[in-house]
Amino acid sequence: MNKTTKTVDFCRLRNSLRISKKAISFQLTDWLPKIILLVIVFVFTVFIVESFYRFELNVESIRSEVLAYNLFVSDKLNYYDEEINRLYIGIIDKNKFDNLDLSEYSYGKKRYYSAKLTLLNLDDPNEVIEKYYNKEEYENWIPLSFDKTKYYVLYKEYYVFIKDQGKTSRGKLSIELITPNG
Amino acid sequence: MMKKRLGKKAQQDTEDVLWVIFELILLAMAGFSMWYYSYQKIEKNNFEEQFLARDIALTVDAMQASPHNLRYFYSFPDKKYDIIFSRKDENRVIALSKKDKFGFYPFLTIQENIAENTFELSKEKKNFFLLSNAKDDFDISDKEPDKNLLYIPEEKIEFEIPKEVLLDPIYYAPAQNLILDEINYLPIDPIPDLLKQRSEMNAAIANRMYLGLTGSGYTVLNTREDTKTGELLSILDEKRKDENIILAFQEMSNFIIAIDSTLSDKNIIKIFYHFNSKKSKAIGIKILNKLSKDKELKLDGVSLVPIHPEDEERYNLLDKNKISILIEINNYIDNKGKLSLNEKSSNIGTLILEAITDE
Repeated sequence: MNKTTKTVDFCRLRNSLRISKKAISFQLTDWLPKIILLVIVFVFTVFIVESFYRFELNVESIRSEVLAYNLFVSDKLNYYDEEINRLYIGIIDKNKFDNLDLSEYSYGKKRYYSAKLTLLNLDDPNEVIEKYYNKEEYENWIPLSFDKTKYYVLYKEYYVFIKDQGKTSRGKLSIELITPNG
Repeated sequence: MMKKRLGKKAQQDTEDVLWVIFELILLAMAGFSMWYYSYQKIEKNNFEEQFLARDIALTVDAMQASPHNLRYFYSFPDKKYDIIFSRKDENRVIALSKKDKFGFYPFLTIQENIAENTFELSKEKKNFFLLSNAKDDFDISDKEPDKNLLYIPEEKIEFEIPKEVLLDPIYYAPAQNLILDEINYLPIDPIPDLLKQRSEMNAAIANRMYLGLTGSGYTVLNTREDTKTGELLSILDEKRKDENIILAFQEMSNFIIAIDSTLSDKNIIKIFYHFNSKKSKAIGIKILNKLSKDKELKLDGVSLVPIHPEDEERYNLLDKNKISILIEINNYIDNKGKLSLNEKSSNIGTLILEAITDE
């Protein structure tokens, strides 16, 4: 009995190796939907991997916040009392602001950001002073800055005091930073 | 005939089995290629290097914003990295891993003396230190800084502390009298009972000091009666003594300690002193160092602030010829709407007391 079974198995294998071309083409047409389905699954998996795997580390928003804070507390624009060696953050020295040079606040030769600083005297609204860093880039970038994928725009307002030769008035300091993403 | 029929069935079965095997092989190949694709994506990226470069560069930027000295301990995962501070054309932090993957990010150089530097980090040596000495110096080193650098250098002047003290815990009239923030012109006390909390805290610190100072043989004048007893909470609504009496106290006292508590987003204790009073400064340093060394208090920082009292009315009790300081306890509001250091008022009072009496 066992012998017979073995003979049948051998026959099946032998016969199977003799599949006609016609049979193969028939099987392939039968398989086409399966292969198409497999390709769809593969493409879908690639799509899933691509959508979850996002290699972007955009820290422009944090960098802009740090930079704005660096500017706000800077001794380049805040009043400094030399006698007591103390910097008064939030009290803007108008004389310093008039001669403000922000070139020190750079990352090297490449221009990573542009800035506009506006000092408004609230007691005398006609008195507005504007200062720029990378003015050319600022003017080129500002019309395009609506595209949030390309530019990060940070706008900060601080209420300050303005010290001008012993006279103190209320003011508002606006800092606008534009940083290209990436 | 029968044999032939069986052969066809057998052939059909074998074909089916082979097709299933073929299917499985195809599936395995597809599975492997998908896994390999994902693996390559993850393996080839330089995410960690980019992250490190950005994190270090932003830390350097943030440290340079500080008007005070800062020391930062940067700790690493147990991996081999070269961290390069490059100053060629562009200021860059470059994080280079041993697999030759790298990430870089620019950093600000307001303090021009940030030197080019390279650190090799490994499992055995996985940290370095960033030191910013307020606008003058920025140092990056793999050697741990002397811990004493974390404290304000003490002033070496010999003087005797008067045995008569005036304690002036600032009292805020309850309810409506909101104080406006000097910068934003906005009420700084958004929580209704905050003025009361602040008064309580000032009184509690003064009360602890009062008990300790009188126990150490000091004569203590107090601007608030309630702080002389342990029952201050029940009589907090009592009005502060007449302003003229306080001014008279301030006139005749040679040693004045005023206590105030305010809101902040950090727990910071500040001491204000007359810029010309070296004795006040020396006492202020002793108190701040004592407070900052205390582990339970967990302060975010301390600050010693010289004042021109002529310019700011609030500080008119500070006098150059006296030992006079204003201790300001900056609290954040915890999730129960309470001042974060309120429960530690007694500790603060004890530490100030110990700094004064040299215990």
